[in-house]
Amino acid sequence: MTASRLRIGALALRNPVLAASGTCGYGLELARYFDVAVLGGICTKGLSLEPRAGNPPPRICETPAGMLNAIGLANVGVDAFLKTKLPELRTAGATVIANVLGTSSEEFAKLARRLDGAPGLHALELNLSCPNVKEGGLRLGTDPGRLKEAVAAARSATKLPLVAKLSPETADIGALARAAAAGGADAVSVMNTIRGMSIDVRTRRPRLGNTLGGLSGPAIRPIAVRLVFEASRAASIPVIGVGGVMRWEDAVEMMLAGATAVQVGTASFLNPRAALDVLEGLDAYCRAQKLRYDELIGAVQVD
Amino acid sequence: MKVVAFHVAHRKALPGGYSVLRLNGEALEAEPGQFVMLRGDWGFSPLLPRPFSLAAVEGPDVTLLVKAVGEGSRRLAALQRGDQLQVHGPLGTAFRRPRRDERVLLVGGGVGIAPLHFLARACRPAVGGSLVVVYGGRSRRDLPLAAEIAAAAESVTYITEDGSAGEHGLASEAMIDLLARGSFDRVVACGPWPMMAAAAQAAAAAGVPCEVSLESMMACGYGICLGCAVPASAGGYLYACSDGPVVDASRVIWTAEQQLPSASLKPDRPARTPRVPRRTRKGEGTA
Repeated sequence: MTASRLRIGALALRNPVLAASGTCGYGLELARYFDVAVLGGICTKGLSLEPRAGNPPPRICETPAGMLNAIGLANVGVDAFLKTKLPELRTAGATVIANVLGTSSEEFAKLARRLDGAPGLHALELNLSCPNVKEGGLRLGTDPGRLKEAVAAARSATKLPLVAKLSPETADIGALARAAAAGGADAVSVMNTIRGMSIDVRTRRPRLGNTLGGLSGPAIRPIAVRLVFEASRAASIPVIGVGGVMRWEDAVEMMLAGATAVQVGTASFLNPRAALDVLEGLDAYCRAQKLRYDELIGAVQVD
Repeated sequence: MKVVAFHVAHRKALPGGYSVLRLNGEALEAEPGQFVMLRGDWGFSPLLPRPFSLAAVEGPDVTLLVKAVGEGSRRLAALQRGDQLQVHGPLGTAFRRPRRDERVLLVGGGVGIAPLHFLARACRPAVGGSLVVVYGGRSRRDLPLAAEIAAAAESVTYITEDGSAGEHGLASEAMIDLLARGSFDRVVACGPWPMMAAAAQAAAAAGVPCEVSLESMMACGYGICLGCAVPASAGGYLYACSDGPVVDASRVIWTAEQQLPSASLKPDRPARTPRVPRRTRKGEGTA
């Protein structure tokens, strides 16, 4: 199977199955279970300029066919990532896409500059869509003008391929995808979690310490498929489909909707090998159908 | 660590909604204190696997103690012989193995007795050593594995909040009495947060080291979801799955109210008065 069309800027993906940010740690956690070099890529836990401890518990709760999380972007910080995590990932042979969280264009530029040229790093994913961050986050990520500015700031600070991770909380995902492209993004990932809330009716308290959280899991897949469909028709850059991919069939669905690649997220909580299982299933399907990966992209038949 | 298909070899239903599950699959190289994530073949709702401390491991068999509290554990408690499920583990840290002459006080509550049972069975002390158990529950129905733990330990003090079995009171009260009367080298506690908090405090007051096995909501069990945060005395958070579940009690801020899913701690205690939800913390996001 050729992967020729599976590109994020200068980065040629070996296959279209990636591990999603926030659901695979720094990739090393998955490497205890399988060879992570076989995946199309590893999107790291969101990295900030300084380490973050995260939100007070409870941080997660289960919802029908899904879960809410309010982790609060707990991470080791970009410097510790470069020092302690990236060298190991490089040794493991992983395709590493560092997910970065800035609260402003300036911070995105700083993060991109810090990571530019790091050995073993293949691309950056800009988290422009984290719910509930006071500065930046959703407000930055759902305004096409500010989004374009943030992407452009990162673009000017690095030669690495750039992926802009978009929020589902918009009336026009196409406009956001075009703004990302105009800012210099090589691809967009669609979608981040969507804000949700759950209340314990016995205690009458929110079930998350942060009150609100991001919904993920199979419950959100139809939303993600719709957004991938719309974004891929609106923008000229590749779309990476994210949201509730649990099995290989879900990856095929995302690709038919227009995704060039997919990210496996919450499924890795259920099974550390989930991304590998999706890849193996997709490969078996493509072999049986005598298809290249790229023949699936946008191949949904809509009258 | 791996994910392996096991099947239910035996299920024993106990009063109080407890079940003892014996699963047969392949031999896990597990130490007392470690846990597994368990998931049945039931589609995607409930979505997440559930953490269970190992109550015993013998060859290809593992024994678990399940209390039906929510949808997931209800389904696990209702499994029938032959049913398949996925077992991910063993995960997390283990209890420190007792020295042969060590005098250890085990303090357990409810399903928290499971890892203590594994520890007591795996570590029979020799001359000079001892394993003394305090086992507390709300009522006599909340003392599963009572006979099994008695067979493995030197002595067991049962204590219930309603006095329906053993002494009348809290496990921590019985523990304080024992610490005052005997000399122990170490306390090992596993149970509801308030019980472990009291055990940690009593052990610290007596100058005895204390290990606890943390319980928390968790999605993954292997350090990637970062959901199982417990406030750490050194600042920041410990993660119950990967820093624990077994940690030294001094590493935890016990005054912080650890909010477990209400079903597992306070199933029958609705709030008397409605409370206004706390505001979203500004500046902290979800990820």
